[in-house]
Amino acid sequence: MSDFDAIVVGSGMSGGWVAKELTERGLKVLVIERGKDIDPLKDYSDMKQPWEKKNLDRVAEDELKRDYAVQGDVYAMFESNKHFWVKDIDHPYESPEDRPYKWRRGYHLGGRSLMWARMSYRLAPLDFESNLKDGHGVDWPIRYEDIAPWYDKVETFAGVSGSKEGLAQLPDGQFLPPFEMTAAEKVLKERLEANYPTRKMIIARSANLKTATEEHLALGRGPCQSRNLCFHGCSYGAYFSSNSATLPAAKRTGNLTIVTDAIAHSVNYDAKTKRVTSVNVIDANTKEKRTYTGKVVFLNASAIASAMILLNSKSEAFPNGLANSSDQVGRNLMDHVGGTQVTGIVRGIEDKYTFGRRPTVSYIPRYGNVTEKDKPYDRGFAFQVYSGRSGWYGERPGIGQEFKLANRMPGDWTITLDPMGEVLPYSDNRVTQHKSKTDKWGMPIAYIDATMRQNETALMEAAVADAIEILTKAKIEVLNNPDPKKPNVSPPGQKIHEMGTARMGRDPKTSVLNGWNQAHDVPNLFVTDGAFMTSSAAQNPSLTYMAFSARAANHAADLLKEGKI
Amino acid sequence: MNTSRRDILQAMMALPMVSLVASCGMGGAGKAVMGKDELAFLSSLSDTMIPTTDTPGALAGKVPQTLGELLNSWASAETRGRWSTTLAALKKELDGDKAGSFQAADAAERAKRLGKLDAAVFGSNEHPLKAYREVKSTIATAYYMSEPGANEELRYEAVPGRFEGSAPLGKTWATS
Repeated sequence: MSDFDAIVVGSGMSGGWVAKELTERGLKVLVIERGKDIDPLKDYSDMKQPWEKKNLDRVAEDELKRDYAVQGDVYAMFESNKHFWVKDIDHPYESPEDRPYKWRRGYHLGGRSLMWARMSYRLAPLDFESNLKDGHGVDWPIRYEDIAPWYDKVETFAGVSGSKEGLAQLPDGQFLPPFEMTAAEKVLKERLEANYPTRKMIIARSANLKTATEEHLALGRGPCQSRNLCFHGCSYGAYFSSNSATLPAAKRTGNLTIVTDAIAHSVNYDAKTKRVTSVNVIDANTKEKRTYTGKVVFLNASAIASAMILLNSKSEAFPNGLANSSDQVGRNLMDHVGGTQVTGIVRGIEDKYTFGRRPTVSYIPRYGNVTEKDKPYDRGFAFQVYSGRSGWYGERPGIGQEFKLANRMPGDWTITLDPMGEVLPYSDNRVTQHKSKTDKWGMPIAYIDATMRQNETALMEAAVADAIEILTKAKIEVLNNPDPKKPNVSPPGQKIHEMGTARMGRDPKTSVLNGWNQAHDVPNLFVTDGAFMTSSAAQNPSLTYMAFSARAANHAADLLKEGKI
Repeated sequence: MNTSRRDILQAMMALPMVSLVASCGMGGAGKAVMGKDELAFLSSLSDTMIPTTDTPGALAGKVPQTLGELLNSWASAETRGRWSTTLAALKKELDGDKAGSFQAADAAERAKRLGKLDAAVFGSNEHPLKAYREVKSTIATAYYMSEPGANEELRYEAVPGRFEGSAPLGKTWATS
């Protein structure tokens, strides 16, 4: 007899969904979380006023350098929420000297669903066909129609605010009302769409409850208060996280057990039954070893960590790691690529300002190789659009009353285009077990060897040139004039969208998972975090992880019911 | 989103001037703790820079306390050393040769001296005391993030409850 019907390794964006769906199907589920429990009353810092925050919310310089060498420059890390980010000193990994990898992580209940930027976009039909069409990577084993109903489901439950636009490259979904664009965004939208019939600007689709439905309210979630403090945890439960939504839903079934501070070490495989049987864990605090048995195992530890668990699960049948007969586990590591931001001043709307702090941005969906062809790159990029009036700042001349008055009224409206592009799957962008180094629990550390390449650079070159042209044509004075030939190209990991390390595919020889997120080699093993992604598309990926997790969990529940696994 | 956006805006606003204050070329040795005299000078500097007018000033916003804490518990010894060097240089400049100590001068005299220095630093990208910009920027941040700075000098809503993208113009919001 197994301890549980299902074991879910990881409680973040995808693991929470698996737990919710399986428990709601009546299965007894154990969620293993390597990090600590989260208590919103103690751990959320959204109720602190600016003047109550220690050191202007800056993490002490020595501490930052010593403990947070990688996490330290994340835009969403502050003194008051630093406990949401791992101490790099405790969780080392290595990369080649000349190819740094930025692995941004949070080890606690809810994982990065607590600090995510909440951008929620569907992949489009063309994204599921792109590998087949241009020959990069392998073909997705499913198509948009297979996942569309699951997008509907997760959007409805999570609560995604957005506008219906009818765009082929960014399918509409089940949206709550959209947030309003700022005056500056409205100006750019109007001029962009007049200047380029092939381009659109829309309000971002964001997992913030613009309004709350009965289903949201029943989980103790309330509508967004426009405080823009999401990275601190939301006491209103107004943005989607495992903590606010999926785990509470799973808990109320009575079928959920959560064990925190339990690091998944490996998954045990029985060669006779050709099934996985149990998960070995190490207590993060005592280092005690335990094993939990389950009829089905879901890996949701995040793309790199799930690959590491598979690679660490060696047996006679799988000497190179569990479910790795294809040798694809750890390969094809993708992220998104970021580039140079271009900023301009929007004039003529000096009588307008904002009220409230919108927790989201605007967005120019991908147009390259969709509505505009013959680009010097494969795939494409989108722009996130930030805007606002400049506020107070210290580095302006003047003292006394003059200085105070200058800051008392807002400055210019500025608008910034921030590109994010698709990264191709490269089999040698790869995570492996370090040959000699282990962490303090005795587990091999990750060796991450990945780099952006020619196509990613080409995307970001075009993004700079396009952004300058978009603003210039819109009669918006460009403030910084970056050289399109020398764009920033973000190092892999920086966009915090790692994926692809156990890709889906049609052929067991070249992929790890089938179209149900089920290991080709092991029918009761599923991986539904970013590891399954066959291509990265240009869209932020979390919504896709949610949809595939819900779909795979329900498939697994079907198979269990039918006695097939 | 917020921080990146604000950082961008602030970086942009600083563009016409030289914005890199951290590498001020005045680096000093590390320093364990800020001295009382240094903090007293910083207090006088804050008060002169952001005095009480029709609205509360830096002292009401406890800026000297915030800066003292910042320098002693946030800053590294190296940063503290750099600040120490900067403050000494500023004090020397503001004290002048014969007119008497800056701190002992009355408000009008202090404003006169600091105003002159401020104009000189912001009038040149290569002023020898350009590290003053970092000090000024930090004082301003501590002030506008203080309760009176946010609530009285500027505007602050802890719980706006809604967002409007084309609201009427009004005082600067303390946070974005």
